[in-house]
Amino acid sequence: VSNRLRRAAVLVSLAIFAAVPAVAQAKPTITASGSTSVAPLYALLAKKYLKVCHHCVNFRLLQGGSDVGVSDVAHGRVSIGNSSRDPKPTDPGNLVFNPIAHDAICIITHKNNTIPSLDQAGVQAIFGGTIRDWSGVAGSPISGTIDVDVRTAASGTQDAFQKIFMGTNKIFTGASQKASNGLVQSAVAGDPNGVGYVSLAFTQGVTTVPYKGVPCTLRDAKSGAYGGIRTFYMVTLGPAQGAVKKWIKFVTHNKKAQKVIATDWVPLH
Amino acid sequence: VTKMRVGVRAHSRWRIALVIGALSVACLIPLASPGAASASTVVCGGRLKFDDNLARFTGLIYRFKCTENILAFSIVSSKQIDFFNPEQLAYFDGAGTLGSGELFSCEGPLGQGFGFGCDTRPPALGMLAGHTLIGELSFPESPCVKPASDRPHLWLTVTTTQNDVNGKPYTTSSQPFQLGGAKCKGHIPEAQQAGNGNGKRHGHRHHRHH
Repeated sequence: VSNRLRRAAVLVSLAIFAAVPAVAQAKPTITASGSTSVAPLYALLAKKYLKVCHHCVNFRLLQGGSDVGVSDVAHGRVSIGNSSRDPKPTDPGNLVFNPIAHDAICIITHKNNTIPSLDQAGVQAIFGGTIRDWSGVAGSPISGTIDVDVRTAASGTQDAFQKIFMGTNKIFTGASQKASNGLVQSAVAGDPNGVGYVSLAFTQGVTTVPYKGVPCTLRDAKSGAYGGIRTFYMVTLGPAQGAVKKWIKFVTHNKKAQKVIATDWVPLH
Repeated sequence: VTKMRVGVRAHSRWRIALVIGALSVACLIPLASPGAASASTVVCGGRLKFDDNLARFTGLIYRFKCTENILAFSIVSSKQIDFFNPEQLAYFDGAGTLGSGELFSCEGPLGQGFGFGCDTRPPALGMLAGHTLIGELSFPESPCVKPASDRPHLWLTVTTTQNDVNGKPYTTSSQPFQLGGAKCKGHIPEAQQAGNGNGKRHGHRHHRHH
């Protein structure tokens, strides 16, 4: 009986020792929420990272807008908050905004409404509601009420647009608020009188308006000639550590990641 | 004996007719009674196609349409998905026009996941009946494995608004609808073709061994 007990004890011990490394080797899960502008880039980068690191981590991607991401990471609900806006003084403390890429914000109109160029005063007049008819916009081939599509307050694109294009001017209160880039894109694509602003990756099926005479293209964004550039961030609570640190390092330094970014966005280096 | 056989046959026919009649009535009762109406009357159909722009051998485009307006949808796969497009952009009506205000934001696991969910963010309306949603996803490896029975299967469930017997609206989920498989012709990586060949040989050896 004693031998049987010893054997049983040894077997149980072996089982425990075998189980410990299995638990220790469990893949970490990196959860991110936030910017709808960053989400398409994040998903593509995650796909590349999984291939490069042989599925060393698990990813979970949520959205909601930049403010949601910043709030989520500050409260420890996610590992990374994706933000397409710069840090605000009102953001919770101890957040680290890790820049990952640059992005162009394009002014878009319906495909039949090609405008040669808009300067900052022109953008402010349209989005501020000073000009309400296309006949008042120099070079516009159409007339009729301008339908302004903007983003909701939680959006980083909204924040960046305000900062880069509008300055201290307020956006027209009659503007239609949309929850994502794609919604603005589809609204403008389906409305001959529509105007809005989106991330460069969302310009299919609409016309982009040159800003200060420079077209909103990837080439002009990369060269620095286009003025409507903002930064994408992966926000962490304190300095990134462990798997999250490796992931951010891959995004910011790995050549394969830079190649992914360069497809529709502007790499940092 | 012949009379008896005829009699037995006639009796059997009567019994079969009776069973069929009873089953028909049983099936019709729930349809006729509003109180026992089905939870969701929506019907969706869709299929998969290779997406060479995303990834030649592993990227797929899924497209589907439904008979009713949908508020949200989920796609579930029998094999792991390592990518999905988080924002769906193209919603075409029958005339090929991009639908306005019809958009879904998608969320879920990347890499280890077997599916993802896409919801509508107000003021978006979801997708209207008869419109087509087009999205992208990819697998870590080519889905065109052999035998064909081992290829991944994908199902779609949608969330719709239905009315109860009093006409009061409620939100419910549909049954799963299987998406039609992508045609593998021209999308099997050469390495995999060779690999499958080896696999077959191994398989034969395995059987012989046993």
